[in-house]
Amino acid sequence: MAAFPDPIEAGLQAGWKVVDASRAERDISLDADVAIVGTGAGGGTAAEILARAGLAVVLLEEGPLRSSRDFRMLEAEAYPDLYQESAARKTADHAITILQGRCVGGGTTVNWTSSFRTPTPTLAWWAREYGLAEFSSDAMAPWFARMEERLSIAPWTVAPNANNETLARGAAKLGILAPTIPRNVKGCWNLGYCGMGCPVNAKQSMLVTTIPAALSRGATLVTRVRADRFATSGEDVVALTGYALDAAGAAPTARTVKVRARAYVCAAGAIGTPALLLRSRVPDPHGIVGRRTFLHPTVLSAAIMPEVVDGFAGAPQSVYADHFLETQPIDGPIGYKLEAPPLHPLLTATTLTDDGRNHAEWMRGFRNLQVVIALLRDGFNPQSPGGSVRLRDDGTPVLDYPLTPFVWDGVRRAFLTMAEIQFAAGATKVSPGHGYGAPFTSLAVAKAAIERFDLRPLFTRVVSAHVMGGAPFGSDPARAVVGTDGRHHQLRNLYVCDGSLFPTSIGANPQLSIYAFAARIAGGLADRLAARG
Amino acid sequence: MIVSRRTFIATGLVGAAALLAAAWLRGPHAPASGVPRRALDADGEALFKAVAPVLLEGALPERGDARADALRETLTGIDTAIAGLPPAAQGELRQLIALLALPPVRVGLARVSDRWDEASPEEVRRFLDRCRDSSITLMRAAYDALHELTFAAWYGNPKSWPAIAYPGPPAL
Repeated sequence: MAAFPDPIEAGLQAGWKVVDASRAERDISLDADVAIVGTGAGGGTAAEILARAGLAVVLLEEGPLRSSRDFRMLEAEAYPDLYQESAARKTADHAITILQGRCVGGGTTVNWTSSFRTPTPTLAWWAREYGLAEFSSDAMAPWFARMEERLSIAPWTVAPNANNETLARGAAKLGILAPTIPRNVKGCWNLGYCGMGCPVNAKQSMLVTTIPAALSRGATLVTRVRADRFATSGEDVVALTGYALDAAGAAPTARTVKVRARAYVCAAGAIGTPALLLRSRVPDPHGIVGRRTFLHPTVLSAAIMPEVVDGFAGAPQSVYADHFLETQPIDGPIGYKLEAPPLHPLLTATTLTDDGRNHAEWMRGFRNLQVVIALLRDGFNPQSPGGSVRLRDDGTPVLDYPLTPFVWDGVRRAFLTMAEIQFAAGATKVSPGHGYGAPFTSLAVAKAAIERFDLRPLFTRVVSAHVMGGAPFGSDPARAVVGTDGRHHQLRNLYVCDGSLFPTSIGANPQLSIYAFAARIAGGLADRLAARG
Repeated sequence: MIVSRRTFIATGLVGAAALLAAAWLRGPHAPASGVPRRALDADGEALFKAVAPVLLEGALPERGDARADALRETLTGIDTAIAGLPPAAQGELRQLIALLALPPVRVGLARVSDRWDEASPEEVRRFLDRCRDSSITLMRAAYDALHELTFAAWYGNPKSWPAIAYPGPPAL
């Protein structure tokens, strides 16, 4: 029984048009003004704006429609149901684990709510290197403000949980600023289970904001459908076809889905969107699609504190430190953002290196466990070209992301920084996420060991929760897939509207960047379709 | 089992050759457990039955019915997790498992000459260490797959929580 208002249940009862393709008994065929592939930060934002403009919108989502009453705060249920590949998606050589949402609301349903504006140095770099002067901080400010208001984004005013407080305390001892993170929440219960779907609808994800708004204005949502390819004629996309997935979302069924629309919006995320373009063989004269895909490759350092930390409880991310982004050139050696992650048993156990008795001992210290993560800002140096999305023989995508010496250099510095912060905060032992994770009991010993670490794929733990790039915007068709209005350079009714747009990584958790650019692009598309009548 | 062109490129010639060999030269299947499985074949079942108690040493109940139940539920959890993966990821896992089931790999890496269901914990331990320390990325990926699936299955199970003092999700 729903103890809280459940906007999904209420909407379904009110007659929202929602089709679960896994249960379709015949092929599905739909007509619309706009077909949107994906319901995450990009697709969700676009859906509301287009539906409010009076346009007929069809949303296609690969994952299921769930709501607060399904979110039981259990990892074993949430990861297979709500994430791409059960939260165990891998890069081609398996060296990086990628967390990506796959459900209505996409990543926004399962992210940790950190909401940063695109950093000014990133926008300035785009202006200088990619001709994107129209996206200056001043020009983008109204778009950020609009989405901050829409999604109740504000700095978190509750005290940070002990996991985040430890990061702040250690940073302060070293003279490093650790400000408060803005979060997209309303009436947050400070539970700490954002990554498994908010059980009280406090997180202002697409699932409870823009998508209900679009559905209430007549939009159609088709779930459990994988968009397969666009059909084109001349300079236009004329149809989008996809296929239904089974109820578990693992394998295709025999049912197909076809949508004919005036315009098509790719918002399937920075792996899904390039894959859709590649499968469709849309024009790509300069071979850009799927290239320069960025991850914020992320490494971690675990510590045991003398006091109880309970990293599973409380807002998962509430403080951050940008010292190692801001105190060095953006195009120099790779910089990193410091944050703390939520700590739940399954993800903690799979992420900790080593096994057997050593692993068991770390897990027995679970309540005193503290973890800092470093997100590396990739894409700002010629030695940081990111990865490439390719298609497997079955048409599904895989990201090839080589971990280069340039990245490992940043990893080593990040390990040193994180150990220094944790010892400064009083940690009794520290274990960087590498190899056997031998715990170090003093900074001097840790430093000496880290300097000698043999950093390499699948020996050093590397994860990512931020996939960006692969279909970048820009006015030069030789370097960009779409224009600054999101419209494809070769196909006039095809748009990209998600994290694929970014020519580099963001250098911060990207959801607010995606919201703001999606709002800008969707607004332009709505005007264009209205003008054509 | 067909090794896709992409896997071939991704893993390099040596890796792909090993995977091909694994797919073609699989020895006699271990006896089936009698437990219905959604994804694990007999090789996979035998492999995880051998490695799970070693990976989870110190974490599982030490003895008795509690230990047997924990191991059984961990195997079921591993099977469920694999079954929930998309076909391509399941295929890659099957290849890695088949690779580890190959006698030349077992013997060459760790002198495990018996079948997995007859290997001693010491042999399994040595095998896991060799995989983890291997200079071949593919072997480290195999270790990582065993690590991830086994620890996910156990620590996703509420029975693992008392030992780490995790209270479970709050009541609303």
